[in-house]
Amino acid sequence: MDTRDDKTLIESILAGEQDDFAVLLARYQKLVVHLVARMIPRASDREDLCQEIFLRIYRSLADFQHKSKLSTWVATITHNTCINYLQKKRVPLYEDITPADAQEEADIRRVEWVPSADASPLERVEARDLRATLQREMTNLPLPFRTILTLFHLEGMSYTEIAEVTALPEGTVKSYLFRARRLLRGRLTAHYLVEA
Amino acid sequence: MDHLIDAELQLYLDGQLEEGDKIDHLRGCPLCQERLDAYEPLFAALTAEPEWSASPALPEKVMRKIRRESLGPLSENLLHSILFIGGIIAAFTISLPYFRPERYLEEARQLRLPETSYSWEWLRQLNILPKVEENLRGMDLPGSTLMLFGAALLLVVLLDQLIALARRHGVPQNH
Repeated sequence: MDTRDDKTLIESILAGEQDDFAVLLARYQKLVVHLVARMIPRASDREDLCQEIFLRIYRSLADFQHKSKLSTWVATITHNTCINYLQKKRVPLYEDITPADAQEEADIRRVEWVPSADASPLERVEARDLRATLQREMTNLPLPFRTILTLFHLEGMSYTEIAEVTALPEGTVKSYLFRARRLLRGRLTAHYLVEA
Repeated sequence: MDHLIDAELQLYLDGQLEEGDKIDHLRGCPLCQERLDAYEPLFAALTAEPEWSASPALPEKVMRKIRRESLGPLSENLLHSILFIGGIIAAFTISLPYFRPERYLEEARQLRLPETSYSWEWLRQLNILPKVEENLRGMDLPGSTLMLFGAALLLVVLLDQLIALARRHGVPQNH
């Protein structure tokens, strides 16, 4: 396994060692694939898009100024390329996010819960089953919710880094993240309550 | 002390709720603890990878394209440059017999500027074509052809840089 840091690798690639890009590719493949998988609805387009993203990263390496983490930069290129693709396909980007209405705001602020002897439905479900249902529910979320959830929970990015990647204000990132998780929790709870 | 609101519970699970009364309350409140526990299966499930994954051949496909594709400016893009410059030289070879630089110079000398109340003498003095003709008289290639060839080379370099710039289009800046 190559232990050179990102900066050394980039310098080496820019000096003409093309094959060193394979090391960077292996390092950031999961990040790109995760984002593409969550942002692009048509599975048949994802592989080509991943290739395009890595080629774009390769061509732009000289522009990377080391002011942020390479992972943030890679995620930004991935995000922008996916957005461009979706715009070309005329997929709605933000239209499906309704502003939080008064009821939702009240719900978020409310301390809702009735203490009970039973655990919540989600706690009783098998983890594998819950993950499978979550994947299905995830596809029904608005695009920014899916993107932010992926960057936060799968890539371990901070609110600030996500704001940089998505070009959204940090407050909006937080708000979308909380709303997305609350929405998912509600849908999953409803799903398992109905099943029960 | 009030119970924590939903957003504060999520902040706590994100590790972003600052130490203080809220966290003290959370540690001692069974109701808030129960609400927190209800989020934990969701947080655990959210770390699961998407079902779709790229083919194992993806890295090799990308590397093959990188090796094949011409990516850099003129100096790194030899085949592209040779083809482009070769095309321009071929165009000159075809068009050279039709060049009549002497005729163009003669026409330029006979140019009559419109009569006005102003003196145009200073402009006539700026006409460098006769001097250029005089300097290039001993050379094998007509001066105008040389100048055009230089301009064409400059055009190739500019086009090449434009292609390189277009390829970088959409890349985030200031990273």
